[in-house]
Amino acid sequence: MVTTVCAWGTVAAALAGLGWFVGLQLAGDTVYWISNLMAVTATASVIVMAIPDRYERFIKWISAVFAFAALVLSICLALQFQRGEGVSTFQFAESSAWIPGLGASYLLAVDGIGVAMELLTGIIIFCGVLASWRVEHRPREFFALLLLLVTGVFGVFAAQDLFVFFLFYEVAVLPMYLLIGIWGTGPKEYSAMKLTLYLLMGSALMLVGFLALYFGTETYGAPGAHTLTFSLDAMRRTAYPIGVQKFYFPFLFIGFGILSGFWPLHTWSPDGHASAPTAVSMLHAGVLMKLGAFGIIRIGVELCPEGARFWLPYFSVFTLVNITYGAFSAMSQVDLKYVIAYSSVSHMGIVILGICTLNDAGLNGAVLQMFSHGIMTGMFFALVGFTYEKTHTRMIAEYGGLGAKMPVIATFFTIAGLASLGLPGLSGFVAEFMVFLGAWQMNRVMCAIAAVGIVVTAAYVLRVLQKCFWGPLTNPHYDEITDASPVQILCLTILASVLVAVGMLPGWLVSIINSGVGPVLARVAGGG
Amino acid sequence: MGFPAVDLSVFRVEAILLAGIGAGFLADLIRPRNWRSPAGWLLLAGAVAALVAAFAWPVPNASLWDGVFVVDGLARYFKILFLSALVIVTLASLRDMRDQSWAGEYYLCLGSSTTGMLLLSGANELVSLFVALELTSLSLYVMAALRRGEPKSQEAGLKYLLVGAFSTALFLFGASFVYAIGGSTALRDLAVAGPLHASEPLFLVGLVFMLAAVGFKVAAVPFHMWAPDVYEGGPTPMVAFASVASKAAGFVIMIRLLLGPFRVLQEDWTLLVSVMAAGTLLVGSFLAIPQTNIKRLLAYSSIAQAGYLLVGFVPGTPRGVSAVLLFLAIYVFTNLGAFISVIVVSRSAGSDEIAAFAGLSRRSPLVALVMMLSLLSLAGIPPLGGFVGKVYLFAAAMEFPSRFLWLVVLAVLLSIVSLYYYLLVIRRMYIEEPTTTAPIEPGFTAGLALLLCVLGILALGLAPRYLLDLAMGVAQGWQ
Repeated sequence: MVTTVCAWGTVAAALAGLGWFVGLQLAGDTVYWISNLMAVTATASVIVMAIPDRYERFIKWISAVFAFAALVLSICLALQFQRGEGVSTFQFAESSAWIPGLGASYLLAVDGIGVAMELLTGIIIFCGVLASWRVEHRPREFFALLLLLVTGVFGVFAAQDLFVFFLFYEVAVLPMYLLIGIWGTGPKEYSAMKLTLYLLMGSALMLVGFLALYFGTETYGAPGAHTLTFSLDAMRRTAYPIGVQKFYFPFLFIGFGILSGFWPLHTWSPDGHASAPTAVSMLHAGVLMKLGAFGIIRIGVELCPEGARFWLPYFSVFTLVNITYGAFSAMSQVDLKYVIAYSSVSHMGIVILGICTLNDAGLNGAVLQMFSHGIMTGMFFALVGFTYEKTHTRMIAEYGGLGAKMPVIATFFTIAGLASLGLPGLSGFVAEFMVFLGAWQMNRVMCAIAAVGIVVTAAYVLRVLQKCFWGPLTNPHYDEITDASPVQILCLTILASVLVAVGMLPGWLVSIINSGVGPVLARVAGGG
Repeated sequence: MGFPAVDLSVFRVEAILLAGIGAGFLADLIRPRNWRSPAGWLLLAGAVAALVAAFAWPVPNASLWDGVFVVDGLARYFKILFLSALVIVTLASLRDMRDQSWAGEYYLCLGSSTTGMLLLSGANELVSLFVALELTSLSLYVMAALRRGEPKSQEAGLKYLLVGAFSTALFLFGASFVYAIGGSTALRDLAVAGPLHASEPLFLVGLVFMLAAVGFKVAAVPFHMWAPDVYEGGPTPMVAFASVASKAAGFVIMIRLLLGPFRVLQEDWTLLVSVMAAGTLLVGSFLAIPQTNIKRLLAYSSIAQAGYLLVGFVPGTPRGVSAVLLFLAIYVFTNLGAFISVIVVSRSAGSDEIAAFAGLSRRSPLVALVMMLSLLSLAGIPPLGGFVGKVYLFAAAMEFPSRFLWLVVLAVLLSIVSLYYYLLVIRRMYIEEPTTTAPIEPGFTAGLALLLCVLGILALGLAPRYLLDLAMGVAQGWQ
């Protein structure tokens, strides 16, 4: 009785809170777009947490409805984002005081890079909820944690204050521990712990860098602005000496690099992604790894341009290992999910290589690759999850000719695979082409080595497609197998159409991204 | 010679608490044998009244008997902190102590220990500091041994007493050197005389001995070895109280001594304290990993927390002091939240093993949630209080990267190690299946205490500005 009252009270309070927030905006004629995005998922998380497990359908519908609202809001954000001459780089700005004693404020805004990432997150969370439609074990906590995590992700991509950034970052990372530990498969507890410790090790390193940047605002701040603050805007106007930038850039780069799967600190990623439940792999490989790359651009490169110019040529050598080693590892896996997990390591290497070029094509390509890979790998993990649900195995050797029994899944797998190997017409091609263009301008030998990764990628993708889906049905166990359910088809269709749309008409997204990349490169060129 | 007349109303907070303790003590003596002891409720009433008084009628700045006792921002801040801890611990004890024959003694000692801390927070002279410290400690020694017939409790009491007596001797020894050199016991006079004697080696000897004594109180390496045994053997509510209040008391002394008379020796003690901090962090983080008893695990965790506090303290700046103040306040709610969850779980499981937490999220979702939030707050995960506290402590040290960068890097890396063992407990609670599905009920009073802790953890994490401004004001006003 008491529990029921508490539960419904919580639901009512959460809805009232959301209603109050919306009412506030209606009354004040200002719309806090980014906060709305977070408010939607946070409210959903609280509501779901209050609903008992036995109302499983209800939990899923609530999650889906709110995730859809988040998707719509993120699309609105992207559509309303202004490009062109004379518009400010950072839009939808929100600001309110939070801890003035520390110089931390609640500052949010997105530039072209941020808005692309918010859109990616919106798509992936909605599809992730759809892909979790079959979760039956403790659904309440599952969806609550998933939605909490995504609230953090939305926050990081828009944070304009390092304190807020760090806060959302940890909110985005920590629920992973329980999500993998409870709902995962295989050595899930080991993977969950490894992933969490690696990622928080990264956050510990970046915290040191953040604090150094923080004290720098007092010492090297713009004239008349020698106040301690975590505000990114103030930091961009702070002239950090070259020595400071060179010293602290590795802290930031490696801290974020761990999350983006930077070799040799990537080992958490294959284990974590392979053990995680479907939606969590989608979110993690699709969105969270992008957080790392985003952080390198937003904080590493943008605040320490001199440090970036000094260090990135060295780090770019490591990314070559990422690309080729990731691809070769994917080639030799026997577990389908590990193939996808290692392909993420390889593809994230392309993203970091793009960042390391520090030129127009490379950086634009890197961000587009973040978006494209997010969608593509999300689709891969969804497909692996759907297939596993039917076959109860992920061993490639036990598959064979599944396309005959589930043509829909096989077709979508082929689309994702073709995007992964960079087929023109799909989004992967545009992104990788741009990165390689940038790499060519930087160093032709490197570009050639990285291209080896692409060849190997083509090899393992085609091998997987051929062994698992096309060819004769070999395993008699699968005679009675069924194809994807309507909810799953919806999920896959959304992801596939984004891949095709970006591949066919990349102009819109590239121009948004470019409006954010331009100022970053201007800072690098101008020496800060 | 007579003492000048003193307005005794400056002791009103202590007086209200003493009234509660006295009433509880008398009621416990005269009650019919078949009644339960009312001492706990009376102590709670006294503590709440004293806390309300400390908030509603703050004592103005004062200096009594030529600075033997002072009332300043620091004293007021710590009095509120100690009383808050007392209120929460008493609430959490009520259910546990209900059927114990020694409940009366327990509440008496709990109250007298807090009284000692209240006096300690205003003591500004070596002898009064010593007396207040002893009142605090002796009560804790008795409480550790209260579980009669439990060998572990006897061991805890004896160990605590012997180690504590040793540290007392060190303190007195150090104080005698300081008195011999400085010619006074009043910290105010010593602070004036200090610069004249900065080069005297015996002054430095006095510093080292007193620092060691304080090291025992806050359980800093190499003076930490009593903590795991005392934590394991003592009654859990007492351990909860000692873990937060005794630590805070140690830092009051540290602030008053090192930033007072020993300010002139800052170069010397910076080195000592930073080495102590590093050792404390290492021991607290790594030795917690193999523990199977939750109280021993929390003992090492609280050693590690002392290390973080030392990292913030070591620069000796107002920012550092305010970071220590803020962290201690957050630590009260965080650590008590964890300990009260332990009280609730071990009451129903009859065991302090970490294995007793298996599947707690299914047996009592609320207790599991409080425990998880407390542990994550201890690990410094946002948006919980511990995060703000830790970032601010590290920030205080990062102000001087050339001197303390190594310490900050060590501390952030070790906080990942400590996260590992906190996650091990969370894994038990959330991932493992329960061995029995019998629900665990915290009961009303302990539930209220848990609620207060959770509200504290969340409020200080989401809206720390008010406490932060207060701590900054205190630190700046005091310097």
